[in-house]
Amino acid sequence: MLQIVNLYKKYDSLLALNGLNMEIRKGQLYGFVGPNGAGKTTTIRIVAGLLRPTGGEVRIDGIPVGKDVKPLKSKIGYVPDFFGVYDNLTVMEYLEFYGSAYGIAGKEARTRALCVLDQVELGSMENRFVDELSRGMQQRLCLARALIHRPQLLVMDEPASGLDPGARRVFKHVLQHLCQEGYTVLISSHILSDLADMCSNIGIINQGKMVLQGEIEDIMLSIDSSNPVLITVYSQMEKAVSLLRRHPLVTRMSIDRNVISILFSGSREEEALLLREIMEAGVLVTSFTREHNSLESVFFNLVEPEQS
Amino acid sequence: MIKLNPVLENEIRRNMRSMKVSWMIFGGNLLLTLVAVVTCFGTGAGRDYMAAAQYRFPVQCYMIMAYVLFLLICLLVPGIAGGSIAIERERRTLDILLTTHLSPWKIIVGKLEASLCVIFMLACSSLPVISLVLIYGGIGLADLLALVAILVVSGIFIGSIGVFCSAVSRKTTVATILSYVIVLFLVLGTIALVAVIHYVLGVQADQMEVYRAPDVGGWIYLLYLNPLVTFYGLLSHQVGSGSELMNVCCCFGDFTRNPGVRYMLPGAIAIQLFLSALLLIIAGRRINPLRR
Repeated sequence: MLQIVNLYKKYDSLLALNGLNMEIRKGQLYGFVGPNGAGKTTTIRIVAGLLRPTGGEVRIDGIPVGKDVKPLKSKIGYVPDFFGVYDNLTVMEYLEFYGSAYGIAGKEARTRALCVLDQVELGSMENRFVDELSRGMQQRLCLARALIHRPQLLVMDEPASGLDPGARRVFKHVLQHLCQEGYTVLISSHILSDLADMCSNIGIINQGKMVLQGEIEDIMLSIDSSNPVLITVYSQMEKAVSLLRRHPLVTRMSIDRNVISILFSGSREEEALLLREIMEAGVLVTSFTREHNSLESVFFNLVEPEQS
Repeated sequence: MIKLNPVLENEIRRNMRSMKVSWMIFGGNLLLTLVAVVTCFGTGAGRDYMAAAQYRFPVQCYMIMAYVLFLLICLLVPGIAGGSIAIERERRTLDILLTTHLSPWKIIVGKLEASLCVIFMLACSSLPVISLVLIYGGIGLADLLALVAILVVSGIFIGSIGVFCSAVSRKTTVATILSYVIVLFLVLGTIALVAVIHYVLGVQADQMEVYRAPDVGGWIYLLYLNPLVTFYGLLSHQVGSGSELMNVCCCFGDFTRNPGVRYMLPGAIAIQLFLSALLLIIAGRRINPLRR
């Protein structure tokens, strides 16, 4: 759906994007993460056609950005980090205005407006004035506006910033629903826990370069494999310790009461074999797990060392 | 069904709900009514009911009301057009508009149309007052239509300046002030500049051994940019002898045989419309993200 190849953007002497590569497939909910000034907004603005890149290529559904503008605009729905609403307009008038901006008018615009309002859970709000809505509702209205022309790719730049946890939860729910309906979503956010919960894929950008990208589960697993394995022993602690000391794949071990923490450099299968070996030695084990990473810790591991 | 520019439609809808435009129209009409009443009583006061002097009333009234309308355009249009794009930028809705199918050109034109729409409403609502002069005669329907046409030209020119300033400025206040400054320069500054040049040339001529009447030469073409000059030119054709504009220009030199000055009215209209188109094109390019 979206391919970014070797993208560069230079603002005077500042290199905002430094050979960025990214790929998003149809139906993915792609979380775009990075520290402030990493190049997230620049990337999103280039994808939305609001900025011209210095070099590289962006393709949406095979069409290069910057060439044939109109078909591209039909494919993208852009949600910025601000509400972008007009006062003195009702919700329906607001959506009808943007409908007409895409060439959708009259009955068709009204029908679509009602449909997108349902999609963003603002079903009964069509006659309310826009400035009477809460921040969370205004942001969902902004999302409805981006959906009015039925785009294939939703590009969202920190849409949940400034929303309270309740409004964020509803917003997250709406986004997950949209993905189930087949929309492809590129979302940048600082709220990493939200992204970890809802995204299928993640890309971490730092200093204009993609540091890590892929399916969120794979990323977690690859990072997890360097984490210690925690074994909680019920009985036969000495047996367990001597067995682990002799094991060639165990590089470090520490014991805290009945929990043994080991650095194990083997694969998932070798992990399972180790557990069987311990059990066969007559050690009673109540838990055997590799310590998990949060997206936050992954982010800080990747981004902070480079910054320091 | 007429398909309106979505930007214009949206602006009309929002303007109609705001008290600002209602007050503008009310104030404009109140002013015109005051002009009509004062002119009527001023001309007729102290005289008999059908005194001959009263026949000057429609022409005087028409002239004053026309100038009031022109003044309203000079005062209102820069204020409305000057903020049109800048306010979208400040509210950050311009980016969203640019991601729709609306081209930068369509957004710019929609904003200009919206600014002119307020003037159009003001002009339409003031028609009953202006039509007073038709009852007395002296001014015909064709004159009224010509007046509307020249007001539209002035509105387009001043509005384009406002939209241009709005497209190049980041802040609404800066854009509005810049629009007023440019309009003030065009309306008063061009005449003042030509007069100053003429005065300086006159001082230099006084010091010469052989006196030669000062002539501002090509500087007179600065008046082509002055919407007041076009307006004055039209009114001089309607209620005067038609040579008033030439007489004014001849105060700054001998232009009696200069075709550029003789046909200043159509020339100025053409130049102002050309400049309007140019300013709008530049404004369109300025807000086009892919051309920045």
